[in-house]
This record gives sequence, C-alpha cells and structure tokens, in this order.
Amino acid sequence: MTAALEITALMCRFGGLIATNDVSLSLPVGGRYALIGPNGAGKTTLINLLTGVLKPSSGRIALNGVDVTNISPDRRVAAGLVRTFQINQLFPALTPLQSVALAVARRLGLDGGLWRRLDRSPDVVAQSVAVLERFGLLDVMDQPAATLPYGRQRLLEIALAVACGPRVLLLDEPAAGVPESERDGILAGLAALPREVSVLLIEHDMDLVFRFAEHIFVLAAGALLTQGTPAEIAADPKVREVYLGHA
Amino acid sequence: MNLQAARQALAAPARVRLAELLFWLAALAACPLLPERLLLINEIAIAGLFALSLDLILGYGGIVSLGHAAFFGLGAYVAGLVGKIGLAEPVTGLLVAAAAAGVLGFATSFLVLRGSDLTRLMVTLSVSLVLGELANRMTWLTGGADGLQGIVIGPVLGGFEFDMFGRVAAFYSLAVLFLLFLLARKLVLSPFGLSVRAVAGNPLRSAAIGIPVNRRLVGIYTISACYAGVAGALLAQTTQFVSLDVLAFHRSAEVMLILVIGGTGYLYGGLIGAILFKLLQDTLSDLTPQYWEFWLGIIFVALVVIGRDRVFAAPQMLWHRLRGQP
Repeated sequence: MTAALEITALMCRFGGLIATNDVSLSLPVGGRYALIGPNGAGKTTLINLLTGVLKPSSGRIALNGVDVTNISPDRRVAAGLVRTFQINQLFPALTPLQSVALAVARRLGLDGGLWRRLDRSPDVVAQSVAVLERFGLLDVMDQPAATLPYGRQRLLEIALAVACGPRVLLLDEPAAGVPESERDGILAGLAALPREVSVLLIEHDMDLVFRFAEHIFVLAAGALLTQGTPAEIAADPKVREVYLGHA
Repeated sequence: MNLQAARQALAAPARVRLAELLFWLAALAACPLLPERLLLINEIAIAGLFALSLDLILGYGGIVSLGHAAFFGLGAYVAGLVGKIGLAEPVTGLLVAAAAAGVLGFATSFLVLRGSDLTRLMVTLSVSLVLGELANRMTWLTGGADGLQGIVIGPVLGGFEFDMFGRVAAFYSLAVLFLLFLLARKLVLSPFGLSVRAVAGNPLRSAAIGIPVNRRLVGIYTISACYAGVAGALLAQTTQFVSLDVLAFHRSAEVMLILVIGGTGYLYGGLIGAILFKLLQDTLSDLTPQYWEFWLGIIFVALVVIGRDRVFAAPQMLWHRLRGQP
C-alpha cells in the first residue's frame, strides 16, 4: 500500500552546512508518529522542506504516491499536507469562527467566491462548528483571535490545521508554552482526529511524545539516527547518547 | 443551536446598520438641500470613491501605496479620450476607463507582491511618476501640459444632459459611488474578501491553510485599480477636462490622507474622510484664499498629535450606539 508520506534521500544544504542529510522515511496511512531530536538536529528544516517553504537540494517528497517536491505551499495543502506552527500563526483580526470557516471553505473550493457568503453555505457552517467544538472553542468563536488567552490561541492554531482536512498533519511543538494543566485539551482534540489521518508530531516534550506516538523517528545532526516503537527508542543507547551524551 | 449561532455570527458583519442607512439618506438628500454646493458634492463623491479604492488595498489587502493616482489619472485620460473620439455616452466611458485602469493594475500588481511596505511605497510611487512623465511627453495624445481639451460628454444613459450647475454631475457621481460602494461591500463580505483579510493579517498562515496568497493580492489590487480608474473617469467627465494634475504625486498623498483621516478597513473611512477633507478645504479656502493649505496642514498635524481616536471618540460612541453595540 502507498505510504501517506514518503521522503526519499532528502538533502538540504545552506552553503557548506548540511541541514538535512539524506533523510528517508515513510509514514504509512493513519499512524501516529513523532519526530524527535536535540536542538539543531534539523527538525524545523525538515518541516520547511515538507511544506514547501524551503526547496531541497535533492531528494523527493511524495504524498499518497504523488510527487509534491516542486509544488507551491498552498497546493501541498490542497493535496492534504497541512502543518501547524511552533509559534502561533493566526489571523489576529479574524474570529476563530471566521478563520476556521475560511480553512473549511478553502477545502471545499469556496474561498475565492465573490458572491455567496460563507454563512449561506450549510456545509461550511456545520464543518466549522464541528472543528471548533472538538477543540472547545465554541464559547469564544466570535472574539477576534488576538484577544484570546494563549492556551485558546494554541488550540486555534491546531484547529485551523485540522479544518483544512489533512491527510498528513505535521504538528510543530503543539504544546509549546502551554501549561501542563491545559495540555489535555490539545491531546483530546488530536485523539479525536479520524484514524485515516497520519499525524507527525515534532516535539521536545518526551512525556507528550511517548503518550501520543506509536512510532518514533530520531533526527540528529540533520540525519535520521534511528526509528522504532516508543519502547525501542526509550531503550536505545544511541538515543540516550544524543540527548544525554553531553551530560 | 450551535449551528444557528455560528451562522448568525458569520452573517453579522453583513447586517445593514441604521447608521449606514442614515448615511446614504443624507447623501441623497444633500443634492436637493444644498443646490449651491453641487460642485463640492461632486468633488466629495469622486474623492470618496478614490479613497474607497485605496481602502480596498490598504484597509483590506494591507498594501500601502503612494502612487494610487496612476490608476485615477489613467482612468481620467481614458475617459477623456473616449469622449474626444466621439463615444460620448458617459457610462460607456466609465467602463472603458475601469478596464484600462484594471489592466494597468493587474500588470503592476506583480511589483507589489514581494517586499516590505517601504519597497511597496517606492514601487507604487515610481509607477505613478512614470505614467505622469509619459502623459507629459505624449502631447499628441494627452495635450501635455495644456491638458486634454475638446472632451464631449453626452447625456447620462441618453437622458440626462450635464448642466452648468452641476446638478446632473453630482447625482451621476453619487449614483456611481453608491453602486460601487454596494459592490465593494459585497466583495469584502464574500469568501474572497475574507481570504484577502486573512492574507493581509498573516500571509504565512494563509498559504499554510491553502490560500493562494499572490492570487488574492493580484485580485484585490486589480479591483482597486478599476475603482480608482472610475473615480478618475468621473472627474474627467464631470469637468470635461483632464490635466497632468490627475497623475500628480499630491493626488496619491491626498487620497492617503483622506483615507487615514476617516480610518481604514470599514469602507466608510474613505467617504467620511473625503467629506471632512473637502469641507475643511472649502471652508479654509473661503476664509483665507492664500493660506488655506497652511491651516489645513496645521489641523492635520494637530489631528495626529492629539490622536484621531480622541478627536473622533464622541462621534464614534454615537456610531456604536446607533449600531446597537456597547
């Protein structure tokens, strides 16, 4: 069966620096994955390569068997590859409802419409409400995003990506800056994602990684160090080395 | 329950407020009530439409421009030339002018896609300077410094001849302004309009939810150029004269000033700004025919120093009360 996301021999050089070194990995459809690695391992570079912000020096990225290596970021989203950001990237003046409705409309191909408003589309309204409900944002759906407390903004950050109807969802440190007590909201929203969505979690917080992922990739110095189940990774001396080796 | 609430919340910005109705009723009443001020009303309507067009790119698209007169001036010259070659029906002239300005807007929109606000200011300014110099040099077409003369404008829709008091002119400009305002309102409330606001607010995230950022900016810039072209065409038709002044830098600066006075991003800012600016200009130039620009400048500096919010706090409170909001 075709993998949801297939990365083959991906390289990215900045001058003499090799930020991504011959990374190949495959995400079968519908799994829960995590990508970990110490600071500077190249996690963010890899995300930027996947989403089209950066162009790889060589290698190939395929989504459900279709080569997306050279298509623009917005067309990758249409193909089902959606990301969240480590630092919130919201629409400050729009409400959660407007933001999510826009993402839903984009998926339904209605976002460029000049005539029919989004409130006139029952599909957009229903699907937007469903996403907001899943992330517990219904009570603040009509307040500008900029005025929401940080925890709520973090949920909106993820809700926006989910509203795009991803087949592969890249979560860049979704719990960054969120206090322990509010993390369950994020996990609950993610747990409710349809099983056929493949999720790749990029995270520093090992507790979150081990609670969420079924399969873990470890990145170090731009290259894939190892991969395996949480138990295998936890027991792997090489992983301990890169995380704790300097201590 | 939730669906109903969400539908209503999404529809809320589209609700027509009482204050909006009053605004347009007052505009309609202005012509018969102030028969000696028809020329001024015409001027306000044109400046308002021009500022409305700037609001589409600045207030909604987040694109700063110091060269919006390029489209205004092109529209004016095209409408003037259309009148000169004998196609006297003014509405046709408006459409041709809008199309010409739209083509220029589309072509130059690619220059404002990249870069910071500063580069956008430079690029838009440069485009208008180039156009101004072209108009100056192409005397065979534009009349150069002497202006475009011999413009013949027929009756509006074949029935209303322009009169020397400016009655038809004022009604005509107001009617065009009203129709284009309705269209702009529809536009900014549409999914396209929402996505343009999203792009202005966060282009990075817009692309990350699949919105084609550049296409949205090209779209709104082109539409805005059409609007500015119509405003210029109205000026050419109602004054039956076009001079190099329509492309001058001070027009681009003035329309920015007008929009900023009234406020960006709610469509009425350009219209309110135009009313305040033109009334002030008219009053001051009556009081001191030689120094009115000095006093106008002083007042605007004061406005900036005191802060528009504080100056307009009282009328704004009234506005919110009329809209039924706290």
